[in-house]
Amino acid sequence: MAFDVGLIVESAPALAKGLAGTIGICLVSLPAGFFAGILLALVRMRGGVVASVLVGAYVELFRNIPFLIQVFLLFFVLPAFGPRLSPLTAAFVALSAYASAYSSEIFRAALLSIPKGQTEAGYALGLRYPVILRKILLPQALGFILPTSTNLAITLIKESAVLSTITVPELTYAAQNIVGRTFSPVEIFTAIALIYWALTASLSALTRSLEVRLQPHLRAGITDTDNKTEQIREDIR
Amino acid sequence: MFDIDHALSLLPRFMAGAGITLAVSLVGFALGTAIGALLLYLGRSDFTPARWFAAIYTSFIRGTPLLVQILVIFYALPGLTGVDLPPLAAGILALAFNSAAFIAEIFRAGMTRIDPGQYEAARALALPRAVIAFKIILPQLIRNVLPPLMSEFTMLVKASAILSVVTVVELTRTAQQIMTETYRPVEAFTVAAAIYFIILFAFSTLTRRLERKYAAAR
Repeated sequence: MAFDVGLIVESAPALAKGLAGTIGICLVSLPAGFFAGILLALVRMRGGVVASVLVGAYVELFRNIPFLIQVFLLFFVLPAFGPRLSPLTAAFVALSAYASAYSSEIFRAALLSIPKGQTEAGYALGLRYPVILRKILLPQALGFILPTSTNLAITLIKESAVLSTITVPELTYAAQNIVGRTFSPVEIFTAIALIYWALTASLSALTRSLEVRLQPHLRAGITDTDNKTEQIREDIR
Repeated sequence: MFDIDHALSLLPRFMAGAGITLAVSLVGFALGTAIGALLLYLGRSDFTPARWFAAIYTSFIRGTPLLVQILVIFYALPGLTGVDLPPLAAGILALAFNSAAFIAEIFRAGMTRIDPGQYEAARALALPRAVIAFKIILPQLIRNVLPPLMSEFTMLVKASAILSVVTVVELTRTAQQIMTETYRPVEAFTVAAAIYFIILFAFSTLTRRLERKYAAAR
């Protein structure tokens, strides 16, 4: 069977629309999940025993249930108890909640990696916690947060393909629609694989350059010798 | 609302589905380890195109959704090669190709984390090659790779839910079938979610415990 490039060109507008859907959904869900993640991490670390256990359970639930099942729970099961969400709303909620659980772990790991003495020194200087967080802890944690967050962004882009199962208008769904109409899975599925690849690869290239800019010591060729960051990244994945 | 008797009556079917989920993940993981070993070999080869291939393969697998990889293998591969794969084989193959990239990376990282001084000291003591390999390097390598390999397997069990899209009747597909037969999504998906949670949480707890044990022994 021949590979018909013309078919991809023909369906380019529909694919572009799907790609816009994927990017749009991730662009909204990532920041939402990120901010919720910061709050969750702070509540878990400073909110007392009960709150900490609750947040821990929340995080474990999202990490140990397949995203597809989370989406189905939200889309098919929630209406029996609460509101019926449109596919797009369900997509935003599912992806944001998923991102919040993972990013709360990123923040927690980042904050825990900074010696306690720094916070104590901040208090000794009469600073309040929000100031300590903003001026002392977060700047130091950035070198860890940035690459792990990019990984999270890439994970979200990849997981968002699953949303096609509840007819969310994103790239994979657009591709399945085109294939349903034209019976050309070879061209179309290869095309979207390449599109996803380009999207995630450019995202990680972008962060790598940003990382070097934000962390000048990386330019000097000093590397993470005991591979610790890599290890934690691996854990979070 | 949630009907416990109804859910209990469906439990055997859910268990069968969970069995398929575990079996598919296990076979995919075993195949993935074999492909991963090949990938590792190619990545360390002196032949530049082989190294390129390994790098491009890893980047592609990491950069595309598993769902799309499965769609390519199930729908596009037959068109390109003429080989028609049944859903189960396509699903297992997709899991294998996917995990291979990560498994190769785990072994590569595990090797680099062994101090070169360990080889040097062993050679300075004139230990035979086999003793160096099995008594010095392998125990340390296992310590380095076992926890991440276990979390990779856990990832695979979690990811295998996507095989439902190409009609592999594993746990998620079983839940979908039950939903369409009974018109009761509540029991179908909450029970499936609970089973996934129990399996995955058990694995990840075990992995964390092993990690702590190895870290303490260091």
